[in-house]
Amino acid sequence: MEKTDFETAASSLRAKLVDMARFYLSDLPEAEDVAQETMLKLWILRDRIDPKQGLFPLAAAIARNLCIDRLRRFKARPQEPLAGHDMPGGTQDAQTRMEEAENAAWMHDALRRIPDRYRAVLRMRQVEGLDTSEIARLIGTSENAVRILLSRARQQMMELLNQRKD
Amino acid sequence: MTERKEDIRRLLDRYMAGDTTLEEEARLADYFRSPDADKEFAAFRDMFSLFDQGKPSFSEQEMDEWIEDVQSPKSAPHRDKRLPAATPLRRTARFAIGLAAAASIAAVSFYLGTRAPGHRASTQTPAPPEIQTVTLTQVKWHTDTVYIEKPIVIRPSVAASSPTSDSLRHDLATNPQAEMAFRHPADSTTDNATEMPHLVDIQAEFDKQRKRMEEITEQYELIAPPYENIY
Repeated sequence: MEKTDFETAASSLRAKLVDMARFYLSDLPEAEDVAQETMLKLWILRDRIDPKQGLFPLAAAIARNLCIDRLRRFKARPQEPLAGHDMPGGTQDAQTRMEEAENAAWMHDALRRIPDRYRAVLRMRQVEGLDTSEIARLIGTSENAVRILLSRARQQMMELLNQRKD
Repeated sequence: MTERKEDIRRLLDRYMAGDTTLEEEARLADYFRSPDADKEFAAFRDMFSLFDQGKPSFSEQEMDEWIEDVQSPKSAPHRDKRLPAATPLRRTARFAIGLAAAASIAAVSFYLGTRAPGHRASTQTPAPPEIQTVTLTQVKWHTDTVYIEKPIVIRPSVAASSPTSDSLRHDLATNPQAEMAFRHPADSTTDNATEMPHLVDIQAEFDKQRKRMEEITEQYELIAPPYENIY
């Protein structure tokens, strides 16, 4: 799907997704989070979207999966921050002795531990080089929300890198 | 050099706050690609080098997970093909589920069976009180059995009140055997009273005790319906 197609299709989608997520989560901030993450994931998936089918079926499925994930997480335990967890790869002592190849493998695993929406927004910004206003338009939020999202994503990534340094 | 380092530090602060423009970020990326990047910013250098490698990225598998529900209709025929060829594990699982279902139905029906009488009792008006009174009296009567040992005294006043007392007394005095022949079923009570006057005392004692027992039973609290809450 082309970028312009995505933009026009996405403009009204976010509100629908928020409504849908509210049905599951009955919590507006959570529902908005879900809608935002759905939009980010849709962008990552845009090459796979069938233009005939449109965005909505895919968006609805992603949003529903996200809602169910969240409900499960609430049930199991309160949300935990990423910081303070040992990274895969064992003790820190072992980490310092890692060779370069292992280091890359560790980094690959560690990056996967960053929440999907942060990874998606980092990809949009750093790899695809999209402007803040563009990202905001594509995922249907304000530029300010995009800045906050970017800031958090970068901080999470820094945290990961610092953990490896220790 | 230090000037540039300060400039970079300021940029990095804004970068972490999400406030930098794309041009500023390009400047940062250039700086970290150059070999003279300060060691203090090693973590940032690693981060930008990761971005240059095209990371963070998403694997095909991850993307498949996000949309598995949308793709499932397409893969539905495959699933249908797989269904009839049930593996032994699946068969045992199905059997186990059937067994569990039967057991639960049995348990529920048993529970309902035990519970139903209790329901009826609770919907009815409390059980008739006289039934309980009788039971209680009998129980009490067994424990409080009255043994009356009294000397038999023939009281003239009781004997005189009876209409046939004169002849009876005469018979009793003269011929004890005649007494048995004289008896009629119709007036056996008066006969009893006269020929065995001590029965009057026993009867009186019996009435007295029964009255007492009735008083006692009235004090007892009726628990109706009984055992409703005990399972």
